Parts: sequence; C-alpha cells; structure tokens
Amino acid sequence: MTYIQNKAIQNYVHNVDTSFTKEVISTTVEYYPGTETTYTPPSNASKVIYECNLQVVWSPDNATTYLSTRLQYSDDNGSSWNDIDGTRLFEGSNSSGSSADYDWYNYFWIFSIDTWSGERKIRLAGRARDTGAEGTIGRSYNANASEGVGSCPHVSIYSIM
Amino acid sequence: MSTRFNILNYVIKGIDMTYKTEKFFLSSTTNNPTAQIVSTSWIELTGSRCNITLKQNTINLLYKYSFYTYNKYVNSSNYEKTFIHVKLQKSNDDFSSNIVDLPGCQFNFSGDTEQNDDFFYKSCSPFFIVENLDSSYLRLVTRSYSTSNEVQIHRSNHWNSGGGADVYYNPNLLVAEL
Repeated sequence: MTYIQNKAIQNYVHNVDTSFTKEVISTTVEYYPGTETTYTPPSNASKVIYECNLQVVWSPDNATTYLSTRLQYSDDNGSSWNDIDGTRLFEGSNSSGSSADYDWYNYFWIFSIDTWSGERKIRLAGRARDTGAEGTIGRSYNANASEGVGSCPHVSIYSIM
Repeated sequence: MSTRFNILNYVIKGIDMTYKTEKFFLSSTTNNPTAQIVSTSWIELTGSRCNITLKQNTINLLYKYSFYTYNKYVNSSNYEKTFIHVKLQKSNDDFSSNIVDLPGCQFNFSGDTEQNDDFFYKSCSPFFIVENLDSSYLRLVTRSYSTSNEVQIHRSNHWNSGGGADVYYNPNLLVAEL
C-alpha cells in the first residue's frame, strides 16, 4: 500500500536565529535581524507564504512606538532590496506623557506573495515614524529586570501548489 | 487567487493497492483590498469566506486568517479607540439564510480603550481549529463594541514618517483539513 500525503504545501523552510541580538529600529529603513531567508519556490507553485512571529517593545522611547514594516526581496544577493506591494504595515500605539503605556507587542504576520523563478532573498525591514516613536525588536526582558536572548524572530516560508 | 485540492483515488493492481488522498486545502489572498469600516453592525471580513468540499459528513479544519486594523480617524483631534468583536460563522447555503456562529470561535481585539490618544494600529492573525464541521461555508464577521470604537480594516493612511499615505496589507486565508 502506498499512501501519498497532501502536497498542497511544499518547500517548507524555517529560520530561527537563537544567537540573535536585539535591535533598535530608528528612522532609516533597516533590516529586521533574524528575518532574512534565501528561498527557491517549486516551478509550479502558485503562491509563496512568508510568516514571521516577533516581539517589538516600546523602548528606547517614552512608550510611543510606530514602525512601518514591509516585506522585501533581493534578486542580486542582497545588494539591493525591493518592497513588495500588499505587505506594508504601519503598527504600534501612542502614549501621552501623562499615561505612558509601555507596550510590548507580539506580531504574527502572514504574507501571501506571488511566486518567482529561481533563488531569491526575502526579509523584513522597517523604520520608526520619528525619533520619538522608535522600537526594539527582540528585547528579552525577564523577571527581576534581567535581559537575555529569548525573543528572536521566528520565520517560516513555504509554497502553495 | 486560490488553490484547492480534493482527490480521492483507489487503484488496485493484482495484490498491490495504492491509496492516494489529498485533504481539502485552500489558500487565498485579496490583493489591494478596499478599506472596510467596522461599526456596530456585523460585517464580513474581506477574503474570509470560503467554500469547503466535504468528502465526509464532518471534517476537522484549521482556519487561519490575517488582517490589518487601524483606529478610525474622525478628525485631527478625534480618533476612535479600537475595540472590535470577531467571530467565525458557518453556513450550508453560502450565508443566504443559514448562518450559525461556531461555539468557541470568537474573540475581542483592542488597544487601550481608556486613553483618548492611544492611536492603535495593528495586524491580527487568528487561527481556529474547527472540529466536526458539517457545513460547506465559513467566514469571519466583525463589529465594533460601540460607535466610539470603530475601526478601519486593511488600509492605512500612515506610513514611514507619518500621514498622507495609502498603504495596505493584503488579507489572507488558509484553510486546511486536519
């Protein structure tokens, strides 16, 4: 007897960089560390799904955080990057000075993008709205104010056939 | 764009038997969606409706959907405070007259509902496990808690350094038989 499993999802790749170092995102578009992957879809894929779960925290600013996040691709091994339509996210919240909320955000993004031919690099990048709305990716803040490396981005990418 | 697989095939050759089955699977996304305003009446989230081919009387499903929210802008000194209800519904007639809320498949989503200038923008990516589904259609619906908690979905007029933009996050849906 032969049992053939569902082939609707193929070429599953994940990326979890546990040596990750937290990163402050300021007002220049920059790479979100730990989110880059090199991926080749099957030739008959219909879509590629890129998923990422990561943490953003209000620091270093006084509680307000606004990041403009977008998915990018590179066809020249990372020399240049292009934003992908339909993946732009302006996210966060404000805090008035009298009631700072010091939010910790857990984001789970799912991007369904057109497939391509050959190898391509995919990553997340973003910037803060202004220097008063910066945020930090992957800050791990624990009991008794200790900090560690426990909050790296988790990325999966796969093809829909 | 969607992809569906439904194949059930038995092949018997002498004493050998090959059994091939591919479970129901759907992946779809809505490109460049029109903004939806969520107020106090239930509305269907764009791209959340799906038609499921049941090969048995009941099946178990994973239902996963992702969308973007933005607290509705009223004027420069008045933004709503995001607070919405979201629930999964089933139907056997494409939501014509048979509409049933699925027990255990609902949630609330909000920012800080006390602070007047919370200005909450956030994506939302829920998933549900639906056991023993006996209907061919599913969808997500949403409404705001009150007229002070209205939300815009899918598009934002803020990007990079501030306002005046028109950017969007394509909502996407994945449904897989378990």
